Amino acid sequence: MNGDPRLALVLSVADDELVIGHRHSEWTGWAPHIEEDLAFSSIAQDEMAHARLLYGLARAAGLTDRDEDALALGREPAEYHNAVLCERPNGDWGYSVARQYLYDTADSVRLEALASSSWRELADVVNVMRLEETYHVDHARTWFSRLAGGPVTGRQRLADGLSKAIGEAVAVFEPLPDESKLISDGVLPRSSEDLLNEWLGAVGKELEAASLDFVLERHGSVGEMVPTGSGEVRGEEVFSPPGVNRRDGVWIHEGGFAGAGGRRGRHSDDFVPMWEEMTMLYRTHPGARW
Amino acid sequence: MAVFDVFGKRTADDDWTLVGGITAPDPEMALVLAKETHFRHKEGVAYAVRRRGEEELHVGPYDAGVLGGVTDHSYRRQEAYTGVGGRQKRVSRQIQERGLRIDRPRPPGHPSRDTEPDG
Repeated sequence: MNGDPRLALVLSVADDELVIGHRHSEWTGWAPHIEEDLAFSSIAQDEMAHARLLYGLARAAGLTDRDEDALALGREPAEYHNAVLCERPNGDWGYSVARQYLYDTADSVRLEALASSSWRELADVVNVMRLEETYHVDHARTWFSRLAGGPVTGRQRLADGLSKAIGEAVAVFEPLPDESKLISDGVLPRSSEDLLNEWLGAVGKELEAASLDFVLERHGSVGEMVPTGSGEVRGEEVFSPPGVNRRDGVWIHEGGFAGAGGRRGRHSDDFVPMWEEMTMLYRTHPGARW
Repeated sequence: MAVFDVFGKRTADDDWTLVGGITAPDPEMALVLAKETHFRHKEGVAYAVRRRGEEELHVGPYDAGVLGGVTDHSYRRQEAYTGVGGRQKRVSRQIQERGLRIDRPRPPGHPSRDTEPDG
């Protein structure tokens, strides 16, 4: 791994987009109806295109000598920096909507910050991404409000999905390796913790408006560490119980993260089977062009 | 679920033209879905939906710069497949020259590779 912390930053965002795009693409042909099938497939393609832009940026900036295909498909599992949330299987539509809502609202906060990065080339790429991400959030919020409004079965499935995903969504903002250097250089304009609390405050209000904030209360009291299947734990890393809490009317982050480790290449047991399928063709025919 | 007619404009000066229809529970969801069902190939610069049988037109919030995407989605368009047939024939010939054979059955009624005209 290149010692420049910008590489970990770019790969974190790019791998999130690639992996969640791959998961979204698994709905192609299976979404609840054909109109949604097209919409969700388009979002999947957008996410993969964003990953491609960022991989290209990493190479153009001299952070790696690997091309886009090699970065997307030619790395070992422990070299991927995506958040664990993105790699989880789709489950039912309720979970997929919940995850898309949580991920894309989080991604929106992250990209808004990166749009003012001192690394101009990154800011330029992010501004292109944001043009398409606006639709992703629009799609997610539209589905969120429809399912939250009932009937009971749909609302229950959304609530179950939110409960399952919320802890790992918080970990989208797990601090990056050498984050202090990124912040002091202005590459990352605001800390991950700062971005997390902005996102959590906004999502908390939306969940309260839909009377679904109980999913945050449950996470705050029953947070759990997720077993990870790859990557090494460094001795200096400190783990503390994950949690969120409501103070002065605002939801804030306290403690550690559920599902932490993705930013350092530690993934859940769900990652490798997905990685095997996603990279199968590339690994079978390395260097092939099509 | 209601039926919504979908309208589009090829250029900003055009009138709204009926381009199809979709089912959705309400205008907001209809707009979210119609953007990708009818305009993901850059078919227009503006779009709108109208619940069938009603007068009110709901105009989509996305402009020409965003409809169909801003990143590389060229694979969605027909020109991206230019040369695919020729490339497939070339690869097939190379496979035959190496003495290999792909023997996956073809769909019923499709001519076999042996009877396929060269070129």
